[in-house]
Amino acid sequence: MKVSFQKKRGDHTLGIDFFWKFAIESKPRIPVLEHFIPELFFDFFYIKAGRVHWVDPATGKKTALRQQTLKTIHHRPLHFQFSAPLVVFGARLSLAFAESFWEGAKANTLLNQTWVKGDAKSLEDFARQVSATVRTKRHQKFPRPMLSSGVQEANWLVHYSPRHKRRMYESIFGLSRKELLNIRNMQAFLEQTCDFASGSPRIIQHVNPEVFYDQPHLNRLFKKMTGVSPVEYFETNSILQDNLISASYNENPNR
Amino acid sequence: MKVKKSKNDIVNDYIEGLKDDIAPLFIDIRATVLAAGPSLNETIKWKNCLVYGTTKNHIQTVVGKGKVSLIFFDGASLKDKFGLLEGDGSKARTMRITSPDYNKKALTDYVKQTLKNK
Repeated sequence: MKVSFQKKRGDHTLGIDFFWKFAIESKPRIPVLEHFIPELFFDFFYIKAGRVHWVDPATGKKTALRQQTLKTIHHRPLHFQFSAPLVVFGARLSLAFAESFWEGAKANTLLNQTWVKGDAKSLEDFARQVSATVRTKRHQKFPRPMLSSGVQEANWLVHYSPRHKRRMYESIFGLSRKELLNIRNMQAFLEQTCDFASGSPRIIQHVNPEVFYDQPHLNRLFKKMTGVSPVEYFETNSILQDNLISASYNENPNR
Repeated sequence: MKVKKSKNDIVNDYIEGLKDDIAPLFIDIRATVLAAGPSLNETIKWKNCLVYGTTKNHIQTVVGKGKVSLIFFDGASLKDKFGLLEGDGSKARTMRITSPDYNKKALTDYVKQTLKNK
């Protein structure tokens, strides 16, 4: 099995962090399982060749993804099955995009979209078509952004009641601010931890006491959001998401 | 130094960004691993770990100060005839490499065994 991943810089004014192309070549044709964990991004998929199925973890039922699908923010694990050979183009969209998304963004959903008209011949062609669609359709829901940097709440929201703010968060991101922060905290933990070998620092030494009361607190949240423990996660293969996470970090190291 | 380009852009970016004091050793180790296991795919897990895997992650590379550590996720099942694997955990074992004169034969053997056991 051969895997390739290419990326192309996006347009931050549109909330597009970067564009990517992901391909799997395999002989014989084998299904590849992908374990997606929650992240603070929307992802647009354009399946050029092959098939991608969403697998329901509870029942094991498989549902084929439409050719053009937008994945909203999710706070539970997502399982995909790729049928190789596969070629997928994609765009990684930031929280700023959510604030100008022209439809309602319910969390944990895979929305059917038509952003690419006809065929995308190359990553450049795909990027051009997606940028044009987002530029035309985008609709800023509030005069100023709700979030400043990361998930830091903008100052203008201080005038609103907690109940009203909760409604605003739900309508824009599909999740409450607490759930967004939980995702951010889990990602912050994973960013700093990578050496789980014997004799190396243990997980407890990476747990930020300002965020997690103790290691069981971290484990509980981690398992709830990803379906696996931190150590199990590092052994899990998530070819596409590993690349997306690394590319996101490179695009915006101070996020 | 001649570097074999990865099919993965992220890996190429990562190698380009390595510090001069560790880059030659890292590149040499990468070449040895890929020669022993041509079927391995490379990816970057989070910000600083190069991971080699097939349908599952097998080996993780961590760059430290003056050293490169290779973590074999299923290292406990490897036959360590060279005695270079560290660790006493239930699964993972680590091979630490600090100089360019490292035991390539041992690394090749570990990688081949890893792929055989997968």
